Amino acid sequence: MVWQRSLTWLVGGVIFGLALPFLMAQVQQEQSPAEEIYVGPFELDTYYMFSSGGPSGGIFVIGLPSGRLFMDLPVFEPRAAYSYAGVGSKEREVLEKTGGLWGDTHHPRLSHTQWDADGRWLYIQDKASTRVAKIDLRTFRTALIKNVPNGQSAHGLSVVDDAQGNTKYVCVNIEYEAPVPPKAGLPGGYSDKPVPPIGAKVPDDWLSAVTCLDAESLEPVFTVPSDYGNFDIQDSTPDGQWVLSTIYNIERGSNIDEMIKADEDAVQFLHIPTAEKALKEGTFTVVNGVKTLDPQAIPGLVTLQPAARSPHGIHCQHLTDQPGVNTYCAAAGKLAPVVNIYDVRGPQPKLVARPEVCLGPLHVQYDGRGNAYVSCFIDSQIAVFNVERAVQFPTDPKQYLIDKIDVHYNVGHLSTVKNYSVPTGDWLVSQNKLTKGLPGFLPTGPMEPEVQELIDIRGISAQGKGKMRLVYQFPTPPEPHESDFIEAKKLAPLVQSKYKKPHDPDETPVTESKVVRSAPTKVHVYLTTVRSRYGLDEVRVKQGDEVTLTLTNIERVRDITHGFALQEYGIHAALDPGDTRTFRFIADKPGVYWFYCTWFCSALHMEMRGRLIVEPRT
Amino acid sequence: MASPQDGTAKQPRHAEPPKGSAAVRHRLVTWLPSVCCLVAAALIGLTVILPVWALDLYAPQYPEGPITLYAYAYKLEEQYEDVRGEIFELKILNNLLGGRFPEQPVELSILPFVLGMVALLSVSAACIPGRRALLLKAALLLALLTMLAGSAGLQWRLYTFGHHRDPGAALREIPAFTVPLVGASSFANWKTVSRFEIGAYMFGLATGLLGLAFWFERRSRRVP
Repeated sequence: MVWQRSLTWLVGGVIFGLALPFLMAQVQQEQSPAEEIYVGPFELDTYYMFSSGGPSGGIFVIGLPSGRLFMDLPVFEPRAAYSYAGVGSKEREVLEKTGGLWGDTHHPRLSHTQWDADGRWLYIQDKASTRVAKIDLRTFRTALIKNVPNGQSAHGLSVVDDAQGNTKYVCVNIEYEAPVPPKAGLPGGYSDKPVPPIGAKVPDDWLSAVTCLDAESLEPVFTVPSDYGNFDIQDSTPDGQWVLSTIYNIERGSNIDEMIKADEDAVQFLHIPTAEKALKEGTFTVVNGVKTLDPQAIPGLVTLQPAARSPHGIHCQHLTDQPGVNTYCAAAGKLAPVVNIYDVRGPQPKLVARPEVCLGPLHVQYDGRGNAYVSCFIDSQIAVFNVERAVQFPTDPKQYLIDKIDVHYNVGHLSTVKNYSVPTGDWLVSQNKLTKGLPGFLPTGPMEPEVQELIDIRGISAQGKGKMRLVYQFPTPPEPHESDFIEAKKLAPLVQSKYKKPHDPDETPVTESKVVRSAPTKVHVYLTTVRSRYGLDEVRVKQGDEVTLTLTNIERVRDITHGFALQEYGIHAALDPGDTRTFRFIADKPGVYWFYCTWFCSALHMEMRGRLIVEPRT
Repeated sequence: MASPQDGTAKQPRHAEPPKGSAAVRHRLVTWLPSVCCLVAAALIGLTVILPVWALDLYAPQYPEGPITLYAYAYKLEEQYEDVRGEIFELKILNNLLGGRFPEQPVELSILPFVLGMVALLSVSAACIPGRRALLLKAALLLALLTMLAGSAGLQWRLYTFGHHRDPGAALREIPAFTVPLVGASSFANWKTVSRFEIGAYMFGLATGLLGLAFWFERRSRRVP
């Protein structure tokens, strides 16, 4: 019957129509990884990641989840494009004076306001030349570089917050033992005593140290040197009471054979309030201008807890819903397949568990809801375990281990988003040491690009269940160490679009272009830049003149940067609107030298040039 | 003093204040023209210090908003983002375009003087009741003339800027254009919106008040 068939179709249609939304919902739940990390045109990333560059000497600014590289921010090495530390610049003078034109950056940290990353300052150490830099995030330029005195190798770095959660100190581990006080005039600061041969212990007066610097001035507030071993990685507790440093080579050996003998090394817990009390009471000595606290003489200043074995990373858990509250800290065992967990809630921190996790555990990060993620260098894996369960059942991996995921290859650091302030628990970045011709990556010669892998950890629940998911791989120049994070929406409005005052507070903006001779062999050249002309088309100096060149970009429109490249004198400047820079050089080569703009500034960019005439002296 | 009830004494005209609605009308008729004139003079004062015309210039490479040219009676200003002051960016842009525009346009020296004249005439009209009609006529005429000549002059400047450009300009192929006095237009990569600004409205209001004063003055003649 026709009407029966129609009715069947009708009923079927209605049922299908009603079911359709549910079916669609089921399909949508299975979102593809591409959709999760896709940041479309004109959209902000969710986070900015400040990833240290190792021997690249700076910091990579990377958007998450897109993995887009925004800036290769130079700190300890010159970079012509950003006009950083170029020939004849003051920045270069600072770099040369504090150690050299390259650096080895490992541990970036953002300053905090009320325990959260505030987007004001970014701190980074240089392991190679024992210095610390402060970067102004309004301009993404290095504001200050200072050597950390009385030691060799600034490695682990952490920021220490006060009771209100505002950053007060930047503390660094001085890793390599050296004579304290350093003996002036001797190479490397070695003492006048004969150096013991390899195979013997390093001398007792060669010390490693934890040094805390003022977060504003980077001047040392105090240092705690000791002969416990080599201080490696550092972190502070969320409440800012303790600074933790892993110690390897408790044997005090001088080479690898002696350094890995002991089964137990240690973690040093430095009690900040005790240090501050000692400073107030005057129980310190001043060595080379630095207030030096003796851990033997001041009871309670440091507490050592055992750590197996040659531990590397030490990281404290921050809880998302309780900022500034201490729970546990964990030191990765490196050579021992364990994670050493310390309870830092009480008046004295203590080792509470040592669960076995994987081979070569290097670092630990947290998701803010009770789970810890461990980079397993030798296993080339990331393991996740539940911290409370590991403390309760340290011998039963089934109880605490949640999941493991392969990474490619040999993960060093791993970074969960905002691990050092208020963890968001959504993404984990695996910062791998080796690429080994990974399919999909152009092998750029024997030196291959580094790979960072984005792992979704939203599936790991507070109850300690679930799976991690590898969603993306992106390349980074060598060599990412760890990272600190801030929300894109929070940082973007804090960044300046123009210089209201020159970056260097000692600079005075040029208002009138002119050449002023102050002495028979001293000339000051003042030049303005604006589309598309230098303030003077021609500058005349005499051979042998000591030339001081001050440039001001008088542009008012954002992003109109002008360059200044001077042929054969190696001078290059790039000035952002409103900025002023000074360069110094000796005009020792007579002749005509064109200078020109290196940043495409307008349709008349190619015509933006002038010439320096160095007249021969007769 | 004669009592108002005393109908016998012949009083001079207006020596006796009228009563009731007549009194109100009388007061209005005597005071309103003066008040109008004084307010008009004050508004003209504001015209001199407020912008009278503005031009918003939009281009793709200025995504943060337009560059705005403000015309005052005595100067030109430029606003870009939060900075307002001398013409800077527009000069740079004109390096490409080569539009002809004098460094110090002559009308910007004349206009404040003319506005001052209108204001002076208004104040005089307020203060000299005997010559009020004549003074008001002069003020009105000058004000309307200023409006007309000012607008025509500005439109002429806008026309010459787009039509008589430097033949050696970098972007000399851009076809001739005229930015209208009011409304939207486009040339090269630019979109423009021009409009009268608050100063012009003040001047319009002042002219209206002068007209009103003139009307009251004419009426007061007819009031017995």
